[in-house]
Amino acid sequence: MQNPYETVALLKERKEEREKIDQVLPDLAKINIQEQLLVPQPADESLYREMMHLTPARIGVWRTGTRPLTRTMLRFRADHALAQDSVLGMVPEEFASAHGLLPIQTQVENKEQYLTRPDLGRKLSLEARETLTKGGTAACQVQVVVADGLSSKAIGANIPDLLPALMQGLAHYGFIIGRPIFVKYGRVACMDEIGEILHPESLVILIGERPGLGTAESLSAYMAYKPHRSMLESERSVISNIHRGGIPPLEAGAHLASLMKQILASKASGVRY
Amino acid sequence: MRLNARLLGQTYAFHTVKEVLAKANEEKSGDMLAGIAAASAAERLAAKQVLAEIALEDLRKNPVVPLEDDEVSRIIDADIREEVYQKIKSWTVSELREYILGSNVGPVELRVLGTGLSSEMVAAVTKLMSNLDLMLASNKMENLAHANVTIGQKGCLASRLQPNHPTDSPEGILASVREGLSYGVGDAVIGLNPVEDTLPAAARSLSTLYDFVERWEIPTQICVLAHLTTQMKAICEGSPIHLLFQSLAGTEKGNQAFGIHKGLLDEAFDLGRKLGRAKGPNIMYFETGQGSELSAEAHHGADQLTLEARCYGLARHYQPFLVNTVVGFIGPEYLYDSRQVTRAGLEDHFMGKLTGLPMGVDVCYTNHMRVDQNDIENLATLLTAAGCAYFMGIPMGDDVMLNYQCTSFHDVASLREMFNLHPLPEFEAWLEKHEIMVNGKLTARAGDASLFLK
Amino acid sequence: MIHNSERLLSVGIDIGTSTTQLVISHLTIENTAPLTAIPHFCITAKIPIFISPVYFTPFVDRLHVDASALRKIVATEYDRAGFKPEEIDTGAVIITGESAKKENAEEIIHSLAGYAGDFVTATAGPDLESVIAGKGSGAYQLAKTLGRCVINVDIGGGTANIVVFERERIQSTSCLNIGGRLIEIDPYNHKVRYIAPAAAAILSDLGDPLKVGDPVDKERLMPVVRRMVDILDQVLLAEDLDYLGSRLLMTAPLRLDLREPLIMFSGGVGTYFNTRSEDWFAHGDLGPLLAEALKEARVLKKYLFLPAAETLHATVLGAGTHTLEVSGSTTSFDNHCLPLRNLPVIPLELDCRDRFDKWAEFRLRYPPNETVAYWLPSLPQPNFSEVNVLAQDLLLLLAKFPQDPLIVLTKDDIGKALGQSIRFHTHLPLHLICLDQITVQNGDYIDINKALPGQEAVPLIVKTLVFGQ
Repeated sequence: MQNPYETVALLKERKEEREKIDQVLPDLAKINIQEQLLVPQPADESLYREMMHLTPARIGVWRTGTRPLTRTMLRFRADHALAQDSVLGMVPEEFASAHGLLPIQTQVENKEQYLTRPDLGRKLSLEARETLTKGGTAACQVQVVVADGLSSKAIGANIPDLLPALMQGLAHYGFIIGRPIFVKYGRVACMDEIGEILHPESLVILIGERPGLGTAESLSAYMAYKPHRSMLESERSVISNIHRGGIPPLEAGAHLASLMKQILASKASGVRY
Repeated sequence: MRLNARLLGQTYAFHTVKEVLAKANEEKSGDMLAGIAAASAAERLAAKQVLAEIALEDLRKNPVVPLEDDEVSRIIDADIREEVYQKIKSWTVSELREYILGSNVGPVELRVLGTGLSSEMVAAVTKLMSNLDLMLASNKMENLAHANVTIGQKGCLASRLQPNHPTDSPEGILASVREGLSYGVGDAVIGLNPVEDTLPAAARSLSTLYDFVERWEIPTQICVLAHLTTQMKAICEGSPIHLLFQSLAGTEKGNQAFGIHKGLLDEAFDLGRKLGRAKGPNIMYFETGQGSELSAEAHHGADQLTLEARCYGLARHYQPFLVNTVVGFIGPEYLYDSRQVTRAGLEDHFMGKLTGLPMGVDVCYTNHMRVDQNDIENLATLLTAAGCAYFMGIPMGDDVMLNYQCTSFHDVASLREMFNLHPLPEFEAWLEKHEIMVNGKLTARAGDASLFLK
Repeated sequence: MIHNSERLLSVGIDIGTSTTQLVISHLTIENTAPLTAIPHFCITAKIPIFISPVYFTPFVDRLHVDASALRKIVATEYDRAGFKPEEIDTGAVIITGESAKKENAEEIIHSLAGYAGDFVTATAGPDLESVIAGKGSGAYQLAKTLGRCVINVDIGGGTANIVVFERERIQSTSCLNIGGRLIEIDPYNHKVRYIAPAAAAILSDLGDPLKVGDPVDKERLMPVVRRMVDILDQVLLAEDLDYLGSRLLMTAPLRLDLREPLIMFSGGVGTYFNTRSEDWFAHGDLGPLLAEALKEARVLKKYLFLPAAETLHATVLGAGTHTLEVSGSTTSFDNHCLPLRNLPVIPLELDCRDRFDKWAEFRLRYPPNETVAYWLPSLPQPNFSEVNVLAQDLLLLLAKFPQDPLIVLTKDDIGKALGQSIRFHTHLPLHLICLDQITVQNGDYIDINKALPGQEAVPLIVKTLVFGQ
């Protein structure tokens, strides 16, 4: 038999531990909604559960009156909050230097302008052009560009693994690699002007995608052979859906390195490639 | 025609009707992006003042794209009923507004009036109306259409069940269909936006939806919103189709960007009537949305509201069963925030109805706009008050394929309850048969998708 | 960037207790990913183009399968189909039921696999047989499309192979020593010709003195087949097995967690189940009678029955069309090293100290001249430095076996990044194969084909070989 006093002390200790944990609510956004069937006494519970795994859509959520339950509503708002924060948030100032990127900015001056004036997000500021001329690498074989685009979170979540894997691959193939660039307030086509200033033989831009509620961290890569301002959209190659739930960033980096190798070998990108 | 105005001691001179129309528009980021918006609130009001005094016949004579340059302009002009037009052509836009809002003018008068209007006239009067004007006028109108069921009647609020799935998985699609039906959603159409726009993919999704609807004997319509040419191939190969879908733009060049033209639409309409499985006579489904012409660089310097009105003018030619604007899909460079989206939703709905269409709205937003779910709940409520024919219904309003948000199954049910509106009658009878609805109210069983898992 | 498809010629050969069959199929491997994604290759079509007649499995005696007669069957049927062994891209020979228990079974199928084509695999084992039959019968496809639980029972001459599919998952398999050929009867004089050991066990359980040479009719044998069905019911309904049941069960019992399962029967007895027979002994065995008794099975009252899409050919079709897999599409390998056959799989533990020393111990269990494949279990979302450390450790391992090629299989989508990192960290010439999105287990062997033309996706066959019981 255990000493009852010890048992009491142990129980008290456990209770305190529990209370400590209870003070922080569980992370709403971590719940797998495909596992969460909220319909009470459904006609066929097990088939309902099966069905929920066949779609990422928010089903099996039930209702109070005609309105969603509180936790469903809050989860939706949490996912939207993350998406909006990702659009409106900024890539930290120190990000570029921490990853060895040369920072420049387009003609856009603030986030609101970025969202309403896509044309300005394609043009480099005067200062940016000077920075590139002074600090960029002219006439390299592969120029890597990172741009915030519509998701600051996509940059933070993917670049730390993708960029070194990409650079490692390019180095392994023996290419002359330009100093990588970070573009603030960039749209895809800002690569065209960079191409005209630095004349790289090929260029890849890694840019945040418009967030959905499912993920706010998705990144796209657009690739071009000898980018220039009159190039057509169809002359760019693209790989999208790079994030932890899609194409993992590390594998994407290695894959992009081999795609750049193919683009250089065939001297073309996009539909011509 | 006078194109100058004085306001608060300043003179404003405009050069063309198109310029007046553009500057009289309520503030939209898309018009600013195009560089055609009024530079100040005062200039906007001066333009409205000029517009109010322009005669309807001057609007007909000055379409924003000339007839000789644009087949959409020609279709709209040719469809104007001359006997109606002759009676009203000397009215000013101001007089048109006051006629529409007059208390002795009801649904029949407005239906007749609409047949005599060009899209520029519809757009012009919209620019002189406040939000409540738009809602009140819309609420008066009733435009009916019939495919397998009838839509557009007063007292009903219908819904499109939109069961999109990131890989077009048939079982994944049906999971959302089952969920939606259990909330009483899906009477306007069960319509899928496919990921993959190919014939085999469209054919597979069409038979998935058709077989399900047949098996459960659901009185509704099905549609797979692939490109029109894909659907035409599918229908020719015997795929079951109730409604043929296409996105429309308000200019010939804009439609070129969508890969369509009048000849193709004519052919599709013909095929749909011959080979489609719906009873008809209305078998077309169109979607529109402000800003698509500018994004295709096919706007001819015209404002996005007027171009949107022209989409409805084009749609009218094919007597559609459904038309809806996808009001907040295109992004903040066209409609920046909830204020602009709300305004555009009310405008589009009114313009569609005045053009004679059974008008629904995809009240929606993307994550890079300054809009959230509260804002679209507001707009959906306003539109319900304005007599909107149908909304989208998707699980929790989160479209997992198109990555945008719109109205949910819950929202459709809530709006019906709050405004005492019913699903379309045939569909309501079916819901009652499955004990999902009694006397227009959801039962305790509603919300359980596994009811349809047999 | 390139949408393409590849067509492979695949053979399936099933050497069963009573019959042997051969099927040749076209397998289409297609990129199903959209243009903006990394290619994703799947087997999209499996079309049988040649089905041989059903041969009786040739035996030299009760303990040995007749190898030369089998080779002759394969040669004759290839000839009739118009193919040469070197034209066959992939496939499998499976030896099943009682035949798998014969003394020369293992040797036979290896030699026959080699004879049927360079890339044809030898397979055996009751669990694998159950899965292959369930895939060939259409049960797997049905479970996948309906999102339901589907049980396939493949009853042949000597065994009943059971598999439970739950959507795309294999929930459980089991194998019972019951079948149509456990008692053989002379079709002309209706006298018992042979009683297999399993049948003897049933007879003794029933206290039935039946022996070779006794004349029989339907009524005489119905209790025997009813007892077989009773045992099958016990297994399928997850009841406690009686003494006879536990003797006839050749594997672990079926694990069942079922809701409204569907059930189908394939194999020879499955064929009789769907047809009506009057001449009970036309085939010289219990098959038609067993099917007749099966119609009264208790399981049919509890589970919904569906006819199988394929009955008689289920196993051979499964062997010919369901053994091939395709790796992930971003991988790293030296194509000139491929194809590789019969590589034992060595799982590598990741979370341990001095892991490459431990890995080396595993490697030393295999002869130095045998090529092995290392398998890395799940390492979810590793970061760049973790993968580099892993690459360096693998190179340290390789340094101890410098003559080895480095063959690494991973479950997660990291094959290309890992391969690139391995190459980056060494200047030595290296034969490297790094394939991902593969699931294998300890004790498996693997055949790796050449990569799809112009692609990084590699077709491969994971083999589980289990002989005897």
